Amino acid sequence: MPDDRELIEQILAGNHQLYSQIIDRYKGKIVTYLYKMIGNMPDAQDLAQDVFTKTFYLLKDYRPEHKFSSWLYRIASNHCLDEIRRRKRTEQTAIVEEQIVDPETPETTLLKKERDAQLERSIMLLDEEYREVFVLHYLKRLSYREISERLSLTESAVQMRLFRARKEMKKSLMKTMGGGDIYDMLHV
Amino acid sequence: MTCFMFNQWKLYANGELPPAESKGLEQHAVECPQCQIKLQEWVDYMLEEEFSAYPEVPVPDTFTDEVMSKLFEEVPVRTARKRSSRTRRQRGWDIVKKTGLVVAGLTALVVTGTAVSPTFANYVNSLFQIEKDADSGMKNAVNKGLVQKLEQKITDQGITFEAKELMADSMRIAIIFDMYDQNGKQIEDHSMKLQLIDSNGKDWLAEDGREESGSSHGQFFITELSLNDIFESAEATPDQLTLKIVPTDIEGKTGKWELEIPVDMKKAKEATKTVAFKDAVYQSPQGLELKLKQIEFSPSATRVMLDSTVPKSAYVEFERAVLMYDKDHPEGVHITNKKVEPTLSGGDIAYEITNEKGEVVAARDMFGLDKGIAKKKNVLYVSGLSSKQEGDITKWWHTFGPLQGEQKLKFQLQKVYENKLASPKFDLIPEDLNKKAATFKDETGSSFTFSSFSWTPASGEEKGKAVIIVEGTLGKDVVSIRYWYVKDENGKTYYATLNPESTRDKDGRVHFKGELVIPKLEQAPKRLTICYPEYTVEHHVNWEVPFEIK
Repeated sequence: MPDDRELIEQILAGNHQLYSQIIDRYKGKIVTYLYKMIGNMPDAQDLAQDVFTKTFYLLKDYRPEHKFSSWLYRIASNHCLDEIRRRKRTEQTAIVEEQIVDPETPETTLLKKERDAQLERSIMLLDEEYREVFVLHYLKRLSYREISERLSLTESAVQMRLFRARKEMKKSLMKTMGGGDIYDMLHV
Repeated sequence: MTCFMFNQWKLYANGELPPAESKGLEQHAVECPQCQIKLQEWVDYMLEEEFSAYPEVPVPDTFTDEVMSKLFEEVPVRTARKRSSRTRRQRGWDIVKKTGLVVAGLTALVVTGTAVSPTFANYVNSLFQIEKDADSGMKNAVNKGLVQKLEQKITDQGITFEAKELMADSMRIAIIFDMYDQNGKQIEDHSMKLQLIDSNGKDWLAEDGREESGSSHGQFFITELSLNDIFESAEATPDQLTLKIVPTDIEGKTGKWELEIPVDMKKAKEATKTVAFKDAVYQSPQGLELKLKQIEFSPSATRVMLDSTVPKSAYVEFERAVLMYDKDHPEGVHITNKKVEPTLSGGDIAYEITNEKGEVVAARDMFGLDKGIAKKKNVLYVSGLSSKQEGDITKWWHTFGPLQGEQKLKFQLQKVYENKLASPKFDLIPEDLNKKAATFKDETGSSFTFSSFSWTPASGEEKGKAVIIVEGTLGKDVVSIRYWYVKDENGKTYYATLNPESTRDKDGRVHFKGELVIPKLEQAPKRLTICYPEYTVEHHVNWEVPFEIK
């Protein structure tokens, strides 16, 4: 079976149909990741389609010295981030309207409060350097670049701190909530 | 040539560095292109890990065909799969995305208006109080009048996009704008592309294809563009630029809200003073050649530009113990590593800029030097590269906060640091340290006292670990010992790390105290030999270059 680089070389040379092999190879991972991040399957699939479409057009920029999968994952995670940022903005107005028309039941409010409290506790347990990026990214929805400018770090360092923050959060949520999924928690 | 810090990244990525070292390394990456690549590699590694962390969900067989037909416009193979409950807003985004795809990479995409979920906003603010304002340099640029009122607006489909204010400094551009519907209701939900076009029609943002974004700023929106990494100097910045803002999507609608804002950079360039130096070259007796090329003073920042070269004779083979992580040793393994590296570097210097009164207005010191003994002042960390290797020459750009007004200043190179090989060996019986401390002197004139040994056996994922308290006084002109290793009674070598707190006494001698940590030590050692393969000395220099901001 040809490896990713060979396939891409041929796709770029004009054999576009081979791109389906790339999609087949990675669709599982990409859809799974997006599902974890977005929280529902139809949207995860739609977004995954967008990711593969975008990646096709960007293929000419792919540099073979990088691992293809990492490059693809980077595109997927950036794309997902943009979508989440857009959604958050839409949700905000939605929440406001909802509160006027249809106030939440006491049960859901209580559940939400409990979940927020757990999340808040876990955030507080993070080391300062992780907490800062976590809040800026997940709660304030700033991009890697915005955070990197604000904290005078490289974007990669911001990403790395986020990876580590997530790992730490996972650990502490495991203790308090028996393994609540951090992404589920953040789909508030 | 590989960077000194390479081995540290594994520890960093695994969260094994103490916070201070971790931060130091991140800051180092800001200016070391090699380490930026290394860090990116680790980020990729983590991404791979993240994408493989969950059991894969099943994806319909038709998925691939759907993408292929989308791409190559065959008959759509839409299946009965229920479309998501996408709102009008999201469908709108689909349209943008489709038209936007072709130009992806050609223009910078700007998303403005960062929203905070109201349920979180309150406690986040109360808990963390994050500084939201621009840095002092940016405020200074506005105070210096590099701000321009704009009265440009455009309305389409009942939505108005209005540009209100522009700040243009030679190092950055920022724009304040508003976006609202016919009832005057502000619209946070919008995204836009930016282009920065010169008089020849060249779009300077086209090449990097990066994504820019802004955030809500009080009443309106603000978005910022850093020019620092687009133009190499103020002179290289075109006099006239056009900032083209193309909102691609407002509340799910596409329309014509494009605004072209002429940016007169002349004022910013005039406000930026450049002092170019001719033949300002310092040759250190050890072989480091430093060339002070120019210093730029803009209202928002000061930039010192230096070139350095190191002779071939300064390259030496260093042998260090490191923790290596690879496929066979995902948990890490102690190994020794040989590397040929220069003992001198343009980054390993200390200098100050002083004014006529002798006050230090800016100072920079060697990276990695303990903050207790490093002299730093007014250092500003900006994004973008700050050093670049071109053949034998390394170019350095050091950024400081703004220095303004006519004044006579002096660039004073004070120190050149050098790494030297060493081979001291301190033999210890760890158990005895808890009864009696052991003191050693070595050939560098340094003395070390080891006390209080402890060893923690493995538990869970953590392998065993040993800790020894070390206190000492370094020899004359010795400032730090970065790398340590130990050997056990079987001759096995282990990487060890020391994170000291250092101070200087009145004679300039460095005193330190810290914990020497030996990670992943599975058994309590009966005997230990403590070694360090190299140490850093400072050479005092008094090279002054007076100059004037006119």
